[in-house]
Amino acid sequence: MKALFVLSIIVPVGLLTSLRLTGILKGPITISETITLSEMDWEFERPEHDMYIDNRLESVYVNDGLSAKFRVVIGTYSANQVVYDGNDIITIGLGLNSTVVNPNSFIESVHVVFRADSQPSKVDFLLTHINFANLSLVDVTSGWTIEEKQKEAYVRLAGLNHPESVFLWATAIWSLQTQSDQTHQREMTYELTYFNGTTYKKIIQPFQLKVAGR
Amino acid sequence: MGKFHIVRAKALTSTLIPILFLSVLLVFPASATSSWSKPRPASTITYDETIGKAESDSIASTEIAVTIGQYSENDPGYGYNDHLSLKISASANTRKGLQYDWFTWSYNWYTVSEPTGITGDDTGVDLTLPFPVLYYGVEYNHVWVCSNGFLSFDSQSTDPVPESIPNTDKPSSTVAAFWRDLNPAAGGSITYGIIDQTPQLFVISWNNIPNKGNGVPQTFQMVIRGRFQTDAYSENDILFQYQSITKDYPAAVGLEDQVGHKGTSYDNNSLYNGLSLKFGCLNAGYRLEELKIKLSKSDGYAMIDFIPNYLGGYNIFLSETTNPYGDFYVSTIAFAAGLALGEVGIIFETLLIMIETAAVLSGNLSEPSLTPHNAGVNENEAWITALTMEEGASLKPFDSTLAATIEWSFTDPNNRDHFLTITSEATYIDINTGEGDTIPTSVTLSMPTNNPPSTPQTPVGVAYGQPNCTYSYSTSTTDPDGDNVRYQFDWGDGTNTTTDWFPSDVTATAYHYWMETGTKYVKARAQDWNTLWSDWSPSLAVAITSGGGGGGGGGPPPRPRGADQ
Repeated sequence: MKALFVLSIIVPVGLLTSLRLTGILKGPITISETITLSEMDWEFERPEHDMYIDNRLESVYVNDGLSAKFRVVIGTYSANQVVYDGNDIITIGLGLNSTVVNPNSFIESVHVVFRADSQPSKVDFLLTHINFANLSLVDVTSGWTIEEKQKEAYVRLAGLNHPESVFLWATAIWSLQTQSDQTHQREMTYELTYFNGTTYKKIIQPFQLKVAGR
Repeated sequence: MGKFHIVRAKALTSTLIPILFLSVLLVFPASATSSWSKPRPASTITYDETIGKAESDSIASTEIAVTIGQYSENDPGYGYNDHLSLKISASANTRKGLQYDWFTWSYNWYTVSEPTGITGDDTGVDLTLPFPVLYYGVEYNHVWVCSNGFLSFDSQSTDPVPESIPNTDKPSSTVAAFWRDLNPAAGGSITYGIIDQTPQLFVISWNNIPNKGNGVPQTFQMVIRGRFQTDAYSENDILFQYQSITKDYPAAVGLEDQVGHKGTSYDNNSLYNGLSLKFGCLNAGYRLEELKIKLSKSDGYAMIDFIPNYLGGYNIFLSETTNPYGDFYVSTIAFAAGLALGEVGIIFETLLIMIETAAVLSGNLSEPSLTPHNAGVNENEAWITALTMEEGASLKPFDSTLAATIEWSFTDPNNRDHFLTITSEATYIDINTGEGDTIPTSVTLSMPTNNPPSTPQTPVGVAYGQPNCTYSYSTSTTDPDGDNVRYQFDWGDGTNTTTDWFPSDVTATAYHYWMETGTKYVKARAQDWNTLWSDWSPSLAVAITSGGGGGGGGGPPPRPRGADQ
């Protein structure tokens, strides 16, 4: 009976320890430093008609054995889209490449987040357009802003088998639910967490996307 | 799966539904097609065209409507892929199977004394019902009582001339116990009251109301029976009782649905004093169980994505996640329940909800919580399924709508034909027996590869001219897809002219004058409706000389060297 009692403690603890050690079960990580890079701004006046924009914002960060390239591609502006309930639609491409070079370093996770808008709008990710390498998709959700309420849209990915390099491309749709004289402003961030061989660090690259009312 | 809540569309009350019935006829052309095909264009185009189709059996009907929105070419946000936006609405209803039948019943006259207030000829009054009345699948809380022996749930008619039942003319939703020209101004009374039994009875009596023609008094009544708690899936019975009537004038007897497409009548020549007729509804237990939208694509060079924030519906059951309002509306309802009414020849009446209603609803945002299944390049089908549930009650509904916006994107460089079949599947069951069926209906979309127009002929026109004189030049070409084409003339002086659109093979003419002398090489190219350009035609050399040319297409000027090269 006593042996059973001891086993009932040892077996779960041992299993837990093994899973942790093998990386199958991940515990919470402690981030020793969070570095927020300079914000990149994009501003655009709302056009009256459809417009092919093709603007690219790109930020490169190289430090501490990590190199990362963060991209935002503003695709097209489509006004008064019937199938989107008459909203104006902006397509956005999101790209990330990152590599670590230090011994025992790896990419832990990549998060892409759209925060609140200044006006009512929605953000949707297109699931079949989320392409990635050496990552696994953890969670994806749409977001919106209405009146005082808001919900963030995000894609969360985790590094697969402690990767030294990762790639991500995603497509998002930003639906503006206002007349063209209203200004929308939304922050979008990349959050890249990596292990530099010693500690975990997080790099945040914010993008400020502003669509000015006409 | 978490807790559940029910999508509420408060604007869709029973008072709105009759309006929606009528809007069927206004907004959806009976000749709507069920297929759409356009060659893939070479640049962005907005189509905003709607196709649709309906199917039905004896109990239920389902409709699908697809609006084709914008085709975007080489969208950088999509990694330079092309994509087409679609709005899909699947609606279904089981009202088609509703049918009243009559039975002779034991005569038991109810005396009621509350005056309706109807005292004039051809008048009526709106009465509040003591209990909700389910009539042809719509719940009512008021009824219009007319002096001329009928009541209506939808219209305030005082028509003294009895119509055949059913009839699409007003009044609609008519319940006629003895519809003829009666005149309460000449005597008698029209009274109403509640008989307090279980379930309650609501009684309206015409007491000694004279015929307008000969003054002979008529006494009859209508009794609407309340429903037991256990009668959730049945309609209210309606009783006609005749105490003292005459057959000296025709009368309409029976009841009809909201649009007068179906109903049940009783031969007025068979009426007699002491007769009691009970009208009961058949098939009221058939309700919707599930709605599904399914998209099947033809190839591995396309993807289908549902846009989560643009999923919605009416009378559908959603798994609950976070939402800012708790009890709320669906963010996007562009279409409402469809009603294919099932009369002979009427197979397609899809109900689009009015834009105003959609606007009301879209002002309130819900968390999209249906779970769509997208189709990547390696999957053939995308789909979304919604269980149905009546708003505000744990009842299966008569009608439901599921609406979704999708993106159909293409990974090939415009060199493959793409096809998409969009199917709505409505599943209904009889609540009482568990029997049911699934009705599918489909539309097809195709985007075949587009071919550019053939190279136009060398422009035809004068080859010699003078400065500042206007000359005409013509050309034509064939578009292999039969598209309309327009032409761009390059005048060889740094300017060009683009014509209007012409059918394939029709000659187009443009006009130009040159301001300077010299040899000008005039050429043309053609663009099809899908924005693809042909190659440039061979050039026509035109010699513009200060002393030569006929001016304005006049006599032949001196021929310059190389003019016909």
